[in-house]
Amino acid sequence: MKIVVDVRNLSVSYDGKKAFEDISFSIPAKQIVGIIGPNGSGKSTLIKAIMGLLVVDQGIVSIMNQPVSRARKKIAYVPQRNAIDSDFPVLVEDVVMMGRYPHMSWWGFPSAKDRQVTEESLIRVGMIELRKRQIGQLSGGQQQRVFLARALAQEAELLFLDEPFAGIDIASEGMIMKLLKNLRDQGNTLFVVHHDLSKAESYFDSLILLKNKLIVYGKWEDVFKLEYLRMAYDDRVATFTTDNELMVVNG
Amino acid sequence: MENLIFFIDALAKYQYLQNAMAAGIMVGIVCGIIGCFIILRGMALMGDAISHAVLPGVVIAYFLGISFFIGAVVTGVLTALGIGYISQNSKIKHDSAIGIMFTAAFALGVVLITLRRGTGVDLWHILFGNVLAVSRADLWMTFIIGVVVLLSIVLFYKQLLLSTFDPTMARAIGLPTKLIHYLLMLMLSLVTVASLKTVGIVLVVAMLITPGATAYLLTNRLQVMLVLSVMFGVFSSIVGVYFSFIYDVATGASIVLVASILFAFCFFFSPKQGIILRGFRSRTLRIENQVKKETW
Repeated sequence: MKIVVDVRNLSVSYDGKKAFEDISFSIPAKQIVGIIGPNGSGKSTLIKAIMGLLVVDQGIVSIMNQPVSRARKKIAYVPQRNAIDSDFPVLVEDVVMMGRYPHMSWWGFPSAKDRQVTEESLIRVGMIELRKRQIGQLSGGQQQRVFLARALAQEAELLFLDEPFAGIDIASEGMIMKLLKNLRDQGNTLFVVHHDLSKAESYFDSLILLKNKLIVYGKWEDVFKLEYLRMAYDDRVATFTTDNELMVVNG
Repeated sequence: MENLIFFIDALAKYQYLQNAMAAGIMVGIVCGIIGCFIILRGMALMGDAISHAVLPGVVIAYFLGISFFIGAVVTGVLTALGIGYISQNSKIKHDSAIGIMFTAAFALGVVLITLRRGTGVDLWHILFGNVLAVSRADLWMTFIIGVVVLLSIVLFYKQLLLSTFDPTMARAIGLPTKLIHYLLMLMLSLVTVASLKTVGIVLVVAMLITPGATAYLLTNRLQVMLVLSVMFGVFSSIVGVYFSFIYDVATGASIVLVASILFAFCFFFSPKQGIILRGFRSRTLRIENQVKKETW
């Protein structure tokens, strides 16, 4: 199987403190990979490091057998919603158009095709009617859909989403998940930072469990084992075994 | 009315007043544009810092007999680099780094001037402007700076917008965000030099921030904000020069006061953000909701 993201012995520190150490894994194409772990376990840092946004202490990241710097066009990023200034004077369609920037020249202006792709992306996330709204006038779920539309417009093969389901409504969450699965079925690979363990099984094809190092990477049934979850969440894990079902509560 | 006719008459007659007016208008345009990005990047303090940090460069350039530009850009950009270096390499926070670096640069400038007292550099004029002494050469300089700044903004609008709005995505797609930051600082230094005679170093930050902030209250689109900001900047300059001429008060300060009054007006009365209208609207909204609840 084609390896899309290969991480070897990656260590990153932040302000002199280790964010995580010695992480290695290889991700094959056509997957939705969930990155889970408690707060401060290095989830966002990991995706930023993979995208080549941080100075790493050591380790190598290759994307489609190339260094990140040569694969940037193929990478789309969906930010954590609260990292965005919602008073910023941009309209929904302006934000989605940003996804087309990597396809334009340095000084170029949007072409008819760029406009068309922007429009199609807005239709796919069901936001075309609100395209003239300022982003701050949208609900959290709608904002998240707009940023997803931006990633769609970018026509990237590799998507990184930072907590896309944090604080949004169920309808938007369902819609976004459906779109993500669509993207996967079309051959894309997606990394999703996620904090809620309860839906991990149905959402993700494989999971990366982090706690300042790689606890385990694999399919849901390989990752959701008591010993691993205890390692990641210390003792804030309660389990109830009913038949084959393992329920996990974390606080 | 009589004053206005008197002013227009003088404007037609006196070269120095025409120059003052032309310089004021150009400063309004350039500051209005750069200012929008400064505001949206949350760098108002940085704008203040760089404009002050230009002082030693201007003084040294004067002593050496070279162009003000070069001196200003050198000390302006050096200060920006110094601020970045301190905040990245120590636990000193960014705003403290700004406070340390720009006061140091500014103090150096003041010491240099007082060291060579009587050589013709007038501290007061650099600090607060001397719009009545705008020469043809000054006008040309301001014009060239204006064209350079405008062209850069038009050509690199996308990069500026994205790196301001979502720096993480900007870096993810490979934009040199640091370079963009320092280029903006360089433009800030240039704009400060361009504004030297009109408003002076101390008040130039007002021309950067206030018209842009006023525009920000009125619109949801960056393009519109840029246009409005330029309009407010130009309006403030024209009206400011007028009042300064009629009442014989300091020109720079007069321009800044007009800009501030415009801001205050929009702050209270703008249709979307205005405190007064918003208060009124939220009351009617409450009443409407009340009615809705009752009919349900």
